[in-house]
Amino acid sequence: MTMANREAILEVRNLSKVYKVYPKPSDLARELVTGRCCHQESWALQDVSFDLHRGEILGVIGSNGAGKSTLLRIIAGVLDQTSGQVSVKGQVSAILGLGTSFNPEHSGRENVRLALMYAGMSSREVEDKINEVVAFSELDSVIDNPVKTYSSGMHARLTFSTAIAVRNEVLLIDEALAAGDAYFTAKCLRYLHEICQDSNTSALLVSHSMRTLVHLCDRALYLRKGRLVMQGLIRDVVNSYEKAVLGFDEELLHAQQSLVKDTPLSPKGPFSILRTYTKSNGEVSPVLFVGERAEVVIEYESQTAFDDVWVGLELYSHLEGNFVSTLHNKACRVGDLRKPCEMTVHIVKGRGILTFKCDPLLYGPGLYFYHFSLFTRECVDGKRMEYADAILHQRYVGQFRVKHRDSLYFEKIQIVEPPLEVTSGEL
Amino acid sequence: MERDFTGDSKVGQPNRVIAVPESLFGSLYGLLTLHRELLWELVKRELSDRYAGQWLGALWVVAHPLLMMAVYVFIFAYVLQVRMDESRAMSGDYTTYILSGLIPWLAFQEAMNRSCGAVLSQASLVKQMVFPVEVLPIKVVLAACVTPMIAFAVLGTYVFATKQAVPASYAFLPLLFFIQLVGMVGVGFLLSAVSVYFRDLKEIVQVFGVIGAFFMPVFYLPDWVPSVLQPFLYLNPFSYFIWCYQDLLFFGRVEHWWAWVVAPVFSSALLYLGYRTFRTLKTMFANVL
Repeated sequence: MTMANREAILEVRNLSKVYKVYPKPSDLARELVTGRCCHQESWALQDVSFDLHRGEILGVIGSNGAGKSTLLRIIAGVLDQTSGQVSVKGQVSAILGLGTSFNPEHSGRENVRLALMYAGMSSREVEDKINEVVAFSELDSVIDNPVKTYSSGMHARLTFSTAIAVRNEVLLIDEALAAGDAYFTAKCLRYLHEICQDSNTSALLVSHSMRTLVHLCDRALYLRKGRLVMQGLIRDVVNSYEKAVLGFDEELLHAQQSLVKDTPLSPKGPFSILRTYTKSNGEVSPVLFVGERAEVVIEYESQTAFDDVWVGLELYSHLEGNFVSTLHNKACRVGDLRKPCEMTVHIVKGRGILTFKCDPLLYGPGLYFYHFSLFTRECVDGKRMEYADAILHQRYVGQFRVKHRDSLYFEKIQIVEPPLEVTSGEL
Repeated sequence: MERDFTGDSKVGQPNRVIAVPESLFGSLYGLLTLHRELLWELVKRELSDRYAGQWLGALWVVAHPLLMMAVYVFIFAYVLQVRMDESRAMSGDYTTYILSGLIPWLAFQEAMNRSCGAVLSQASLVKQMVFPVEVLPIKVVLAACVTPMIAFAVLGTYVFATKQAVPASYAFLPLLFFIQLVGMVGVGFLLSAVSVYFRDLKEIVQVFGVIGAFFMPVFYLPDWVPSVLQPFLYLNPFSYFIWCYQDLLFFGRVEHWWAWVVAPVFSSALLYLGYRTFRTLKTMFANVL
């Protein structure tokens, strides 16, 4: 990326913001009269500096209360800073909230008209633009109804459509896309990408969806408790955010995995899980590598032996909570969906071990967690694979991280390839 | 357009330098010309929203000031039977005297009352939209102009009906009202900004509006007041507006020339103070809204 060569359209230097918190409203008056300090200080931003370049979409990552909204508000000019500098070469439009600035009694069209005028358009420009806004929002059928009858998704559509119609140099978006449905969100993101590529629009995008940010941004800021702890390439920033927020620490995970738990993971039943861990190339490791051999190991204790059961791991992506795929012993091979590859798994009486092996592992980088299920053969054949019928269905039995060995790629690829080997043995 | 904020970095002690442009009034003029269509739209909506969903609707714009005026005239001119030497006046009787002072004060009163909520009631807009917040108090004050305009028309009709003529001095009414409008916009800026931090202001302003009418020469001549209290009448800057209006509407000639000096100066000072205060406080609104 040659971002460094491009012109900075927004420069933020040593920006800090202190909120004075008055326990009671009367404390403010007391402080003004007596001159005695009656407030607590809360630092929302501390010494934040960064540049936004022309045509760039810069992601802003951080947990709740990290100062993301405060940052956007100060840049938008609706909030003052305590110290530091913000200079914008151009006009700013912002989505700082979802349609709460609309008048609920007025129709969607009237609200759009006024919002465009607030943004500085003349009534002639508004007339030209308003149909464009309505068309983008796809709310033609309800646009003349009062806004109070709209759903929050419709609010989101109207807010976003209005904000992008203004076409200012800098666009600030604070989680505005979250309330829209998947279709509209995708449409917005595509449009955002287009306007930033084709015209001179730049955007600052606050989002909790790492997937969105990874798709749209080249760079990101990571705010923690008001401090800019990291800025850089999106994959690096997302990686360290995931690590910090999800409490994922490789050393810690190693330590946890090497501990044999005294109490079993699952309650006593015919079948209970003792502990889980992962192996990379045969070595116990919480980190698995794309394209290399990986194993998920389940240690269990069973009251009885089971012949020919169905065991499965449902994998979920940690950040989005999306279902990724199921690793199980009756998987269909890619390319021939009709022919199941039946692998018989036996559960031994007493303590045993189940190994789910993927060789090579073809999941994209990221953090995954998994649920475990064990069904009898009858359930599977009778197509009654409901959790209530399972011998054991347990959520969140373990987690692992997938990385690229050379860490050159970040993009999440998800090739759904079944694991290909599930073995059972004595512990 | 380049926007630049600077502030020093003393921790915890915000010492803000907000770049006030060289010409404060120049920036206000620029704002008004740039956003005149927005202001017009906002004033229209302010008026239509205020009475939306009510049975008599926009009729209240007329009915409210007429009823207020009728009550005062009824009490003072007919119940208390106040009489004054009307020989000096060109255009009217005691009723005209009351109305020529009462209408401008009612206009001030309405502008002040509504200004207190101008920013407060639009909290989400101020926090979430990028727009010149200055339009909010301006729109409220402009919307408050409808009432006195109707009232002045009623007064003119009354004078014409009783005297079969309207003095030429009535032609200067728009000029005087413009001077007052400048002051009202100033008060609007001041009250709308300060009430964000000091919400009790609304109540104070309401009380002040009601009793204020009795502390200026609206219902009486300054000579009727005991000499001990007379200085207070002259200390009240609003009295000078009343005298100007009485010159135009009641006496039909310049009776209080000094009032014509004080009123425009006071208006301009109000606008300067109000606009300055508003601009200083507006970026801090989001802290407390």
